[in-house]
Amino acid sequence: MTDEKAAPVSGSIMVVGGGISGLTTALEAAEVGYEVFLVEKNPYLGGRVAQLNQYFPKLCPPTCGLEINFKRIKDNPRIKVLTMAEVEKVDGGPGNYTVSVKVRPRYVNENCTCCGACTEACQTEIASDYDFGMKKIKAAYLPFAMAFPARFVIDPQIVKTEDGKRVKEACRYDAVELEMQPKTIKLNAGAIVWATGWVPYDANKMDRLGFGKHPNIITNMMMERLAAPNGPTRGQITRPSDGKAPASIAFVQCAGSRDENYLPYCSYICCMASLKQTTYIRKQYPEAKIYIFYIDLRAPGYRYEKFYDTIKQDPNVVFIKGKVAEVSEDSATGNITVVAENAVTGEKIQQSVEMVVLATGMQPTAAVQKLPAAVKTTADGFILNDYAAGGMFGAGCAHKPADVVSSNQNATGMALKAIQTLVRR
Amino acid sequence: MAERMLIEPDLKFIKDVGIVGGEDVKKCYQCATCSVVCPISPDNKPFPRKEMIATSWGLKDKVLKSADPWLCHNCGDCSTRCPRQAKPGDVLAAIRAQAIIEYSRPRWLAEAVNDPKKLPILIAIPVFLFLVVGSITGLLNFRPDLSGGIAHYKFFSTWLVDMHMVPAAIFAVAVFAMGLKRFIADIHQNALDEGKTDKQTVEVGGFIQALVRVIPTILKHNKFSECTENKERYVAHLLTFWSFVGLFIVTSIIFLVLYGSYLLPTGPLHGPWSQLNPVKWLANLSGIALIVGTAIMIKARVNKPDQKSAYKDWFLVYLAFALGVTGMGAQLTRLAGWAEVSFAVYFLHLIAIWFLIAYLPFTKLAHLVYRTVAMAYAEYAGRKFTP
Amino acid sequence: MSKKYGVYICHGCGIGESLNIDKLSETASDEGFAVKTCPAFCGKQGLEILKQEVAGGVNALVIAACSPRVLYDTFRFDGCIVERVNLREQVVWSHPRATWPAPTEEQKDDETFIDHVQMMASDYLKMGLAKVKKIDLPTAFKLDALSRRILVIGGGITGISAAIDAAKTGYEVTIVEKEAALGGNAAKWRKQLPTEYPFEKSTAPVIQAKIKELDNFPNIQVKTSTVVARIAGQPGDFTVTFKKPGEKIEFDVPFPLPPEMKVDESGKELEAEQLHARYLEYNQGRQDILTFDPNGEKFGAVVLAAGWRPYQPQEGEYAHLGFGASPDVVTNAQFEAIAAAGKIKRPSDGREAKSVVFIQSPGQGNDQDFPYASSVTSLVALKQAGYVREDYADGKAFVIYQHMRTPGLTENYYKTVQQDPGIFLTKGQVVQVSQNGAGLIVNADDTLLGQPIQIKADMVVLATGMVPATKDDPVINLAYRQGPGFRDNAIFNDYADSNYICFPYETQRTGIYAAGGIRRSMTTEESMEDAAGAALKAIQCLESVNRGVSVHPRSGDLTYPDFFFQRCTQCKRCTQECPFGALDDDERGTPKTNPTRCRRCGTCMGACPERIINFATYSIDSVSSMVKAIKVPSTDDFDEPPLRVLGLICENDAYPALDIAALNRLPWNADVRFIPVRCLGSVNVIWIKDALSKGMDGVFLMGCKHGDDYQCHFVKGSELAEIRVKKIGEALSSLALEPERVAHFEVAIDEYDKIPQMLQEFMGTIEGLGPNPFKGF
Repeated sequence: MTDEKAAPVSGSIMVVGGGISGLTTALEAAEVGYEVFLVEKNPYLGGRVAQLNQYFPKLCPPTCGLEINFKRIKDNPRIKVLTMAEVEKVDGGPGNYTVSVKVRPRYVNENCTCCGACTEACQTEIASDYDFGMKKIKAAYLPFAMAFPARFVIDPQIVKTEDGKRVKEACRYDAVELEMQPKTIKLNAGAIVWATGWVPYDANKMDRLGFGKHPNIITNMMMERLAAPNGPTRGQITRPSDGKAPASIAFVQCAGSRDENYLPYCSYICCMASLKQTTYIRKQYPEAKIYIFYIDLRAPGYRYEKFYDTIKQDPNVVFIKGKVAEVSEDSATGNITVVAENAVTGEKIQQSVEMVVLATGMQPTAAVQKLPAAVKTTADGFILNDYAAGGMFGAGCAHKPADVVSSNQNATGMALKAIQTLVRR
Repeated sequence: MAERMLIEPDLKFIKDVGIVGGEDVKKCYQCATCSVVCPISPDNKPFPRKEMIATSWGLKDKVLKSADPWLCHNCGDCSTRCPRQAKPGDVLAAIRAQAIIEYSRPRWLAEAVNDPKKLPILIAIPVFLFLVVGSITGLLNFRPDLSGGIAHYKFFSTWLVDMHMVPAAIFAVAVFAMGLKRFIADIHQNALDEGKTDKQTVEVGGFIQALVRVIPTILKHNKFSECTENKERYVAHLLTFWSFVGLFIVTSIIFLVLYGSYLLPTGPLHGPWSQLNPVKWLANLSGIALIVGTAIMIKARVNKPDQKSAYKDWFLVYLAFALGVTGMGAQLTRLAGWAEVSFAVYFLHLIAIWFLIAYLPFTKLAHLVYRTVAMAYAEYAGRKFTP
Repeated sequence: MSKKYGVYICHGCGIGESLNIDKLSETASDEGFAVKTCPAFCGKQGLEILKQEVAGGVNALVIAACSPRVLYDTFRFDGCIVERVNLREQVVWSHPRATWPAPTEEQKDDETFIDHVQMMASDYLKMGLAKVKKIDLPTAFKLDALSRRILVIGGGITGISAAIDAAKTGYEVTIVEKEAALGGNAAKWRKQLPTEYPFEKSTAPVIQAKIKELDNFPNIQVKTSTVVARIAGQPGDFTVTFKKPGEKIEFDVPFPLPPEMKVDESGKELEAEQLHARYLEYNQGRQDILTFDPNGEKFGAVVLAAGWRPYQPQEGEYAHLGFGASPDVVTNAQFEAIAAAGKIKRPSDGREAKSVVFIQSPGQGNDQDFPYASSVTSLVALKQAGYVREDYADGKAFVIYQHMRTPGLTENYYKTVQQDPGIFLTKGQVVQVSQNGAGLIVNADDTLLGQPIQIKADMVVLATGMVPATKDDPVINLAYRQGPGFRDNAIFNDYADSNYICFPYETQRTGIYAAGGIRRSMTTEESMEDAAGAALKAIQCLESVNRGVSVHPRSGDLTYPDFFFQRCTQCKRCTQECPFGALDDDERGTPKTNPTRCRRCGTCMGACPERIINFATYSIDSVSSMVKAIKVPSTDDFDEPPLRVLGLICENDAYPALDIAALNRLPWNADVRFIPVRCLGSVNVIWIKDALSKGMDGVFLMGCKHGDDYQCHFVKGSELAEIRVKKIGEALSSLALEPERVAHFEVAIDEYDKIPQMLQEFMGTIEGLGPNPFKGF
């Protein structure tokens, strides 16, 4: 065996989306030896997992794996990362695509040292998307402490204001460029992997579940932020209405998922996520009562079943087979009453709790924002992969609802499918 | 805990329920959303979740011999909210249709009434009776003397009418009586099995009292007003319901007056009555209510394809609608002075009436009996049912 | 390499305001280094200076500025050693002058004034200088001969898919299958679960088509009725011996001695020679691992797709379900075999089985599914319920589950199957299966039917799970000193894994990547997808070896352990402690290195008592010199000298956490000095001794969580470190030093907010103990 049998390293791969799936596809392909463009619409990489407090079932921080992945990027010049960038148009075919990528202005250039002077100078406050609006941040900010790339961002709304000037003056490394303009660049790629991920399903759509009407009803993703040390409450799980430590919490499973009126499919992660979140609560409130209302508890496989089993040992975690279909608020206390039928006992339950977590599901980004390319999707927006045709592939949750484990598997495989497209030429 | 139930699924029952509108029952995955969103379902053993699984398992007795499907007023909330689109509302309606067949005898007639293919025969029966009996007795006169103005009895003698309507009514009452006997026994047994009541027996006195207590609810249609889905059904059903009450009163008065007046020296007082007569007002009012009410129902069913309408539904609304239209039509054509037309319409009207009375226990309209009894029983059994 | 040094101290980001840069520059220039300063070296002007320096021949740069975690590309100079001294985050930002005041004008020349922050900065600078002196640019390790062939173990759906995926990418592949024919479990089914959207209908098995597809690939070789006798060597250069199943050959892999055989009667550890003698006798007739099979075939990487076997309940394990008592109570695998053979008949009397009950959970008060069950077992029950219906128009199938587990898009399959009028599903707990004449009676409680139920059944099927092949057998049969299989596989429930959430394909053996049922229960669809991932990793490994760089997690690292064998005492610790079994020792115990097996964590370096193992950029000496570069103030310097404590911290989690603490301006004790290490496993006790003998008052190790849910990227590093710390405790007491002076902390990367407190508490302990008596010697 000699070198000419080596995989021909020619052409580059574009990965759209810098979440865990996109990172994985990009890194795995680059470490084989291919040039990769990693295009991310946020100012930072990491996507959804960057917003999580812990992974199930190991209860370890996602930033641990992310840090290693970021290190792999730093050590690998083959990966070109574009943040605040979105694909606008895709021309050409497998092996030879021309991709127009629109890059939004960050208003901060590579001179940024992350000293933080701009944030101090800035007076305007904006709601943090990263924290689902539960926190106000300055309009000149670092998305989060571990953000990669470690570079500040300036919100467009202050660019033409006094605040903009203040921020610019505050920077001693002329990193602030208020005249920065959006630009569109053309890139060539032999294959494109769409790792565009998912958005939490909009809980306002479930009119009977009271989200948006009653402050003490939150979503599971909001719970992740509440529990995170770098979250809006520095990790303290408290009620939005009055900051009270909740003595009782109800988890509403399948909030939108497995429901023909909303998302007909199962979102895969919500059951395990809620089980995981009971550990967040238990860690802070040893006495808190926790109620989990479910249709089926989906903790499949040796490891997940084992995890579920440990949660069951907790006498203050109560499981009820029955979907919550009605909620009401006691305006005096802000407490919430959830109603369900325990299908095993045939009793209707009116459970009053201090806080409710809606286990909302995942919706592929393509369902809310059409992909600018000719890729087939399911009725619900999941990308269908045609390996025979090759060229473009969906990876991770853009392809199907999945947990982090499955997303990483899938994303690694898609790196190979992309490489095959290049090799085939 | 209740004793162990031997499971013997009846696949034919699942099929039958499907035919009359419950074909989505198998999509149910038992999340129990329906039991929660139902505005009138009780807290203890709420419906329709348990009816859904029992039906999809083909447990015929468990659902047909239960009062709960009758407590449902088919408002459709559950069907709209069902995450699997299993349409619990339609399934319960289908169960009720099956129960009507189950409890009415003769069985063949029950099946015929619910079988579109048999419709011509069912119509032929009264037509045949009227013509034959009418011509034999000569009570049917195609060339009446109309010198004293148009009057339907001259064409179709009141004797002829009542010699058909009265037996039909007696027949209907008898069928109901037999059915209800078994019905009440069954729903009580079922309530005991499923732990829905603490009453051991059904004692008449208490039951009557319960009946009296629910009557106002029924008259006021409280249950309907709780509906959040298809609200218009509330109005429609209220109109139709009261029109029948009105027409019943009118008919009774006319009946009494007519046969009472035979004792008068002046001889019997035949219609038509003066338009100024309050009884006439009530008659017309009810007639219009009936037409409007049933018209709304038809419109609603046409506009709501998600709510499956089976033959049994169309059968009844159209019949009621026809009843109203022919009745009103007979009067208007009479006033217009079109004798022949009027007589023809009147003939149709009579067929419709006979049809309604004779087949009452087998049609969907039987619900006014079964539901009333079921509600009374629920009240008696202490199902926290009244809101 | 001949080095030309340059030291560059940045004023930026508050460094200038907080520190006396001139004083700092002196510390470097005093040691003979050329020093340049600049308001911001990352700025245009600053970079210009650096470029000129490099052009001028400087090839060893010490940049004292911000953390190496930021501006990584700005300060990358190819062909140069670049050492980043983290003044900004870990000195200035984390130690505000408000708390640790700078000297006032009059204090400036006051020798007795203690400027903690300045001391810290100069320490770190000196540590950086010490390091660059001791390290070299790495040169890649190249194999003499690289094999790019990929070995796929297992000819089931996963193995075949992996082979095809690798072949499509241009690699040569060999599939070994122990059975006489390819196909594995997937070939034993009547139908299989849907493999593509909309996932509604079970289909004919795809395996046969896949097997056919192999014909299109001349670069795929298939060996059936063959197993791996041993895999010797290292990635890129494996020598593999094949054999017929059951055959006994000289190149069967030898097994290490079990613990009880390593000691004599009195229970004391045997000498090397004795051990070797026993080892030979224990592996009678087998060649030692270091003897390569001259007829062995060369491979570069391995895809492990040995799959799974159906779980077979123990005798009487499910007596309450009638398993064992009645032949008509079978597992789902047995049922599948019956269904594949034809119409479903009762095993007992061959009568048609028209009423079948599928049990998903063994019950007995627990809603857990059967062992090794998963969503696959739920889906299979639905599939098999369908068999009953397709065989008999009046057939009835009952599925009694605790949780119907059809996640993601497979929910569609559940919905479709549900609608068959003859399939009945309920949550419930089966309490008893008993004989009833020729048939069976199934009793279930807590169902959704409102009361306990009883079902007359012809057959009962238990939804037992999928057991990974690695539970029964090493399968890979590595000719490695640590043994033929994966080590400590029990914590992974016998699945071939090491970091299954973030890096699912990484096993504990480099160059071997697992896919399919051997990693977790998977459907055919998932297995085929998984195969692609493993194939990629195998290819990636080959290409990394070809470039002479490390694979995950130190991907691209050019360094590798270098042994100074003359001083080796054959203690075997390196061989035993390497988390990846990279080292093999000979009969005398001298380690043989296999650089391409190595993940560069440095655990061997940490283990070696003779300190003969080093990396070009990371060595005993480089770290020792850093330790020695730390100024330990004594009473000669100050009346009340501040304490000095050394922290050896994991560069992957603890070090970033400190940066984040600094970014959040969380201050921490100023008497601590940190040295980042590749992994706590690489910490050599000599560093701790150096620190203490130099008079430092305490030493702590800070690294990832270990245990079953460990977060160590090198599997065992943190765990080993703790053991070593315990050992050194004893050594210390012999030196009349309190063992409490050395501690080990576990910290997760997101616990940055807790670190300052941890440090404070440790310093408290040290203060309690008082200063190190060796101070000033």
